[in-house]
Amino acid sequence: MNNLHDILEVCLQDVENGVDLETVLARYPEQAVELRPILQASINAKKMVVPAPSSDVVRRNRAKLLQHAAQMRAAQSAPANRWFPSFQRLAVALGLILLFFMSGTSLVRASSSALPGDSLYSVKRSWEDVALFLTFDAEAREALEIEFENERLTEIADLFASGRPAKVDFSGIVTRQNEDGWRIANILVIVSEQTDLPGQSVDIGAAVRVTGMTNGNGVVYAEQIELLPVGSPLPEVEVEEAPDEIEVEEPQATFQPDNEDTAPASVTETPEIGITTTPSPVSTPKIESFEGILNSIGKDVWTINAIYVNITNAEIKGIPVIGARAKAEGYYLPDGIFVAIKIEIINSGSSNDNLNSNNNDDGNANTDDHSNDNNNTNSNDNDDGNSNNNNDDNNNNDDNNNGG
Amino acid sequence: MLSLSGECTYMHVTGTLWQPIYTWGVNFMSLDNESRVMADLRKLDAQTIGAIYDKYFPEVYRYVRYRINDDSVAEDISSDVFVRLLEAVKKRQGPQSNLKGWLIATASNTVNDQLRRQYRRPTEALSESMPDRDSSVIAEVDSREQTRIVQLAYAQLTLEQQHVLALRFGLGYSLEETADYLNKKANAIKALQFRALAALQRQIGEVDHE
Repeated sequence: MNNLHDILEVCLQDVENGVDLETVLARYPEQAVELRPILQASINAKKMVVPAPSSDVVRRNRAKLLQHAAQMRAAQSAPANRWFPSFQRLAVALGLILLFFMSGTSLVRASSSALPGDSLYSVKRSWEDVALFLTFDAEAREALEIEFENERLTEIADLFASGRPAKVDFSGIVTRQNEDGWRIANILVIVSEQTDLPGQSVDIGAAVRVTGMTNGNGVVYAEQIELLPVGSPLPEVEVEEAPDEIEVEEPQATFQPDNEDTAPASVTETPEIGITTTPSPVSTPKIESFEGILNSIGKDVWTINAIYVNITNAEIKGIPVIGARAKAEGYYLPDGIFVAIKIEIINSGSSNDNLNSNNNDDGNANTDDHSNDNNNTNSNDNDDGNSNNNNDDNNNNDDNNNGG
Repeated sequence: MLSLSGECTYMHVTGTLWQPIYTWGVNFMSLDNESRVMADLRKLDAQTIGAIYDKYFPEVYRYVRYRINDDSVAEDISSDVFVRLLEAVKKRQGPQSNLKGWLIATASNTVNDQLRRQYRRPTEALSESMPDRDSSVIAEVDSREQTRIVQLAYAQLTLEQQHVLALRFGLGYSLEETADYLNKKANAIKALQFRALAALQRQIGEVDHE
């Protein structure tokens, strides 16, 4: 019996190498009757071979995976930062708690208007830590964190007004990067060779923490810029009008989504490069778009089809309602977050006046079919391009690819 | 034209200088250093995760899709395999040496879980998709229909038989590779694939006659 198993393996390799079934069987006339159905089965088993997944499937799941990794990274680092302030600050904080009970709040109150560089400023910051330490309700805590981030911006505005140089730190979203400097939380930040930048590239739309010096000109000279994990508290900054003016140093062509056919081949995604090149502070994002269901609406971040979308700089058309169908145009950051430049609410339930929609809030295959028709008109380029990004629920495409 | 040919010659002559640009080679080389890859993976380094995904996702997907005849379920499971990798590495339970082997084994386990769940529910696939036909019609079924019959027959095999056929005929692994992945001796695989193919052909006959 063992012999038959060995003969089968030899026959399988022959068939694999293109030898005809009858020729293979003729070599083993005694076993031919038994081997024939087995070899026939092996030929049948090969009929089921599936081709590689479509580029759409690959890209979609890549973004999901990187996003998951980003969340895991954030979960690892975020609580550590907030719950365990440095020993020094904790010591001051405990001292302050004592002081609070002994002498009332006068010192704390006196410190509330202190600016960076003032002697009471450390009291002010420590008091903030105490307040956060003693706030257990998650929502209240978040509100407090945002309030303190706002306070950092107010302090910097006061320093600018008085023209005083001082060491400052603040958080915000990068909204502009050009030769004059970066705009972060509406503050002009000078990034020089001395600036300590993170290993990863910092793109427009990234949430960062800046440490630096103010000067009399109303700018901050950055000493260090760190990327913040997802979900970090950020100050409330008025969104700059005209988001179309977002500037990136190079190359301008990538910001012309109307002109997809002429987009240079070099901007297509080449993940292999990522692991070897040294990250540059300014990268050139590739404009993409996708459509999906609006799952949640936050202040800075929405989720569409479970993809995190940073909307800080986005031009939003239509009324955003959870469950509505939305089309997002923008680019992916290396950590899988999508930075939107434009968001269009295609179908927001009752209050929509849109053309193609079926008033179908569930976002099922029907609406997908419509969007497919629209998309195909301008997607005749390479398969890596911007075509058909929006088929999360629709398997028809994949069937077509696999059918052949 | 002249300048183009000039450039080519230049690149050819100074070929060695251009080596670092061929990032494919560099990429796979760096992934080959598994201990470093695992260290970067533990740090949840986005570039490492991206490189691992790019290298292995298509193969994992093809394996899963071979075993499960449903595009979206296959996509979900393949995606889940990589999320499990991150979770496992974080808990220090991830692969120690053979990353691809770990991914395929995890894919196989996840597929098995999914199929067991399906088995518990009554499956309508067979009765619904196999309408009565006389033999003359069967002779005319196109290749797509034949593939469907094979798929239905394949689904009737044991999970281990499905696994071995997916590796050998779905992914085209050699006998030795398949033995490695199943952690068995080559002779055991020879016997297993013999039984699996015999069972497959028997099931095809049964599906055909229904």
